[in-house]
Amino acid sequence: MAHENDMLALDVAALSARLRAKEMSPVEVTEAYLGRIDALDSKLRAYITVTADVARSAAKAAEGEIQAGRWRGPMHGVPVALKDLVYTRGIRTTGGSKILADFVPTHDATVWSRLANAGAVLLGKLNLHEFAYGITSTNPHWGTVRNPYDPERIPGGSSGGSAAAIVGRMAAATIGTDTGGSIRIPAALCGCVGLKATYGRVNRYGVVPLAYTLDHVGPITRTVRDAAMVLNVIAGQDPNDSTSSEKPVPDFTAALGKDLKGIRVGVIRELNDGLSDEVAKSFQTALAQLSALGATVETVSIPSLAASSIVTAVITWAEALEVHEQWMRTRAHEYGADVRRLLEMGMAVPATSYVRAQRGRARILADALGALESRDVLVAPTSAIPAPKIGESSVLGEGGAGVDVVQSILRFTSPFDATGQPALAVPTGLSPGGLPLSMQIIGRPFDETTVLRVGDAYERARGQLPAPKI
Amino acid sequence: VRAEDSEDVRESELRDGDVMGIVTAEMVKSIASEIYDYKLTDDSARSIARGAGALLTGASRLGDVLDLREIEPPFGFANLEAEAARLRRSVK
Repeated sequence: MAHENDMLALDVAALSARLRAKEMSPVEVTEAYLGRIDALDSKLRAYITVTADVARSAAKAAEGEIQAGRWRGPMHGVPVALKDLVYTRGIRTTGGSKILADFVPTHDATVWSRLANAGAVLLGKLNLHEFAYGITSTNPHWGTVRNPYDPERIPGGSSGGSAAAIVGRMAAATIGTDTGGSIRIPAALCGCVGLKATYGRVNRYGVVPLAYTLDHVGPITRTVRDAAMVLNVIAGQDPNDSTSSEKPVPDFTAALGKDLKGIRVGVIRELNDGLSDEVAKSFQTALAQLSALGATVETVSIPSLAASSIVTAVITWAEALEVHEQWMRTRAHEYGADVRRLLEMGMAVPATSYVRAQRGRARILADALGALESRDVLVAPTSAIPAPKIGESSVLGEGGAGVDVVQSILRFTSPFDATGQPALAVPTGLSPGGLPLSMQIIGRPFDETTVLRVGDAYERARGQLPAPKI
Repeated sequence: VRAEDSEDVRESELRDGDVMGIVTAEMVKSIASEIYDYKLTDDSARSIARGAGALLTGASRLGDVLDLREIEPPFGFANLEAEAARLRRSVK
């Protein structure tokens, strides 16, 4: 029997190979993860619901199939967990809220049914910012998710539990959602990989919406290769989601393992200012590494990005209120104060502002595509600052000036929810204070392959991040 | 021809936009109550008016900042048709 720590140390790619070769058993691996959750989750509060019985049953079934030579693919027997706004049939799906505390869906979200059909083992449902409407994962109903690198700091959000579980080795892969940055922000602040694929690449059926036209579903993982492997399973058109794309789904792992010769990288000028010293230094080092790998790195300007935070805020306020309107009329007191305030803000958005914001998206995407005409990917920091302390609303920024925490983070991620482009958050190292820092790689619509190729090459050159001392 | 395609009208739209961007606590309370049947305290209404006012002033200027002339909203008939087809399938 493999040692428990050895099993937990493996990324999906390595674990999958061992499971397929029958060197490890899905039952043993699942027990190791359940033991880890039992030991650690009281500190990190990453889980809302642990589905131990479901996991044991699925692991046993996976073991039987693999032993019998019926290997379903790379996710077979791999323990995963889902942000708790992904519907799971017969299993409570709270949305991180009090309002849905007892909601038990009668069907699965497509993203989960695809993972389940691929043989993944469900460990449980992960904590989040209430209804995915916020970036701290400070949840008044289910507990505050903690950053594994420093439990006094936020993990980011809204998929905070999804990132904390990965870095805390409480799941091999997780699923998050991203409306203004909710996959990439927690990946950045916790030190793991988060992929927001192109809008429509991953279907949204059975996922509690925040803002219909901005919501993306995607993987949070330890490595870029793992993100590609999960995307291989969850991507593709779904007849239940008319916004899911008909475009063919390539093998996203096919271009991994290459260098970056011939790749042209544009550094977005508008997202390369106002950075904390440690983020600026780490980002410059990452750019030098991209150059050393053979990429051509040059600065590019996309001035319209400056308007994208207004565009995404107006759209999110309006669409989120439409989703929550009935509950706001009858159950407003059951929301946390911050989410209720954001929903109240939506009441002040006129229809003209909403339509204008939607029209603005085309301009921003057109400008981003212009920047990509002679380049393969764009890059920027994922956040201007490392993880702030829980409850901190402003931090010292460039030159010692106080900067707003939310704006210091959302400004970097929300533009690519507005444009719908694929965007990958990859750690660039730790700050002198031991906090994770991150870069995002942005591509042309539906060109996740190149984004993942660049992220993978960079990640291999960067080397292993020191694990948190939890 | 849209209003904003005319330079003169565009200028008046900007002026209108600036006026629209000034959101008062009374307006917020009234909208919440009349449209959403939702009661706000005076303090909440003031706070919302400040936050929403700043954002909506920015939103009202998007036409100029992003040059939205001749840009359609990305709703589109293809999306409408696809959603209708999905509904038909779920009925059968």
